[in-house]
Amino acid sequence: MLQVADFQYWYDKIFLGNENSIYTSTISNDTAYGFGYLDTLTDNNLFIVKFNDDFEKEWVRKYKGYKEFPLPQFPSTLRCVTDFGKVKIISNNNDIYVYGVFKYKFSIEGSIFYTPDSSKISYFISKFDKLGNYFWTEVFESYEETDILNYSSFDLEILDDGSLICFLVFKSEVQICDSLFMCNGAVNSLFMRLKETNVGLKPVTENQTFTFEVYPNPAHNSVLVNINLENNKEFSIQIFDITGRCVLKENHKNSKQIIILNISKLKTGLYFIKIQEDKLYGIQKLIKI
Amino acid sequence: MKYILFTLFVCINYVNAQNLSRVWVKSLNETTVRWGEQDYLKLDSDGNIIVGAFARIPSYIDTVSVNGGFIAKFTPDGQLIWCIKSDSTLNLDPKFFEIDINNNVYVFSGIDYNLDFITTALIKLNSNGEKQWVKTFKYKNSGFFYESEMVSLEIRELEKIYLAWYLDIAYLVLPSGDTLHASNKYHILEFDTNGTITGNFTPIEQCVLNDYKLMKIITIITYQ
Repeated sequence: MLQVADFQYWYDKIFLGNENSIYTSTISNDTAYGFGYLDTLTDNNLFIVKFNDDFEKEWVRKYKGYKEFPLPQFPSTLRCVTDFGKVKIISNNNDIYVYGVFKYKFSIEGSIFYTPDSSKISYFISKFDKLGNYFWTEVFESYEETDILNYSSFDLEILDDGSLICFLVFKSEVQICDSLFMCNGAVNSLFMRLKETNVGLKPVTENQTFTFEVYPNPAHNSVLVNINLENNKEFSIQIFDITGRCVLKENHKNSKQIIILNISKLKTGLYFIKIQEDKLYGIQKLIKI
Repeated sequence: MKYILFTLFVCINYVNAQNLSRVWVKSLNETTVRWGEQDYLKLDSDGNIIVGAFARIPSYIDTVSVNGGFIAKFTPDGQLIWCIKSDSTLNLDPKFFEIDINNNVYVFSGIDYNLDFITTALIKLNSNGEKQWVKTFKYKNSGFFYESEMVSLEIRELEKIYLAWYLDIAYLVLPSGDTLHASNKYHILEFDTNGTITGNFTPIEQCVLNDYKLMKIITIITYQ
């Protein structure tokens, strides 16, 4: 049964505030995703967030958008700002495709993608796997200087064989893979099937694993976790039960420490402790007695 | 060959293929683009492709002439199976559509716009594209920038259909003639597959002023 309270619960969960704000969210293949934007003095970034079943952030991937302003002595020469519009996600059991429209340029995992010039818009499709590992981005260059929201629209579906069905709207010209399509100046659209040319590629970046110590194990009221991470970044500790439900979560910053976890409220049984620092993660079994 | 006259596209070979290559492509002239969200594509359980859009001038979907809104079904190979388009009995302007497990197609469409009222409709097509029923919903046209509008169409639990509107200063007139008032709020109705209203989950407070942040409000609500 739908309840307003359910909506408020979800809303409170995903609109987290400040740099973690989620602009909008969607569900594909029974998995929830969110999009967030972080606008700083130098960047206009796009974040893609995958949620787990408890609406906690499972992973985040960042598209770095660029801002380039004119030198003070040439105030009218240059003002380039990346703008993302109508970004969406679709997934099947294996892959996740992020697609949308952008203006100017962005980078992801070290690769930079441009529009034909700073005032044009283009479409993009990025492929990830379920773990958030990045594979590739394809850009469909569009040549009309246009309002990124009013004259652009893009829809995507995945066929069982992994090929993509796309519908996109464009003005002037758009380059799709090996062909350039031109129209009569109006807003036209293309409807097409695309297939991946390099099936079986490995991801550009993969999550890496590390080990940590858990003791005592089995444990009763508390357990000590000995962590020794190289990077001094924020990391999370999560405990999952055997159904995959997260029953405890803490965030920490000091990456070389012994952390005491209070597990007195957990029922007896088998659990998994997961520690994740960006793309580095480790998992250990824990038996609660 | 007539459709070629309306299709003013020029295709030039241009080498930039990297990760994707074209299997087939079709074009449509002068498509309407909406400010907010809308559906263009869905797949049915057989992998067939449902396409919905609005052609502002006469155009062709394969060999079928369209001038206005349409819903069309294609095989995965791009062969047209059927096309439902605006005609004298129905002024179709599809904004959202969904497909159930039996490959019936539900279309949330605008069907009449005038200065006083906007009429929207939930339309059920069977898997052959035959119209099963049409339920109309009318609301007052406020004329404001953030005006009332269709927000979402979703199918949950296999055969529950949800429609959402955002109503600014308006009220919604149901097929029964009853009215529902929900100023500046989202209004959600639940239907069975026969088009009978089985639930009314409104009004939901507008949590943020920018409506487009909540385009997937039904998705959010029903993910429990």
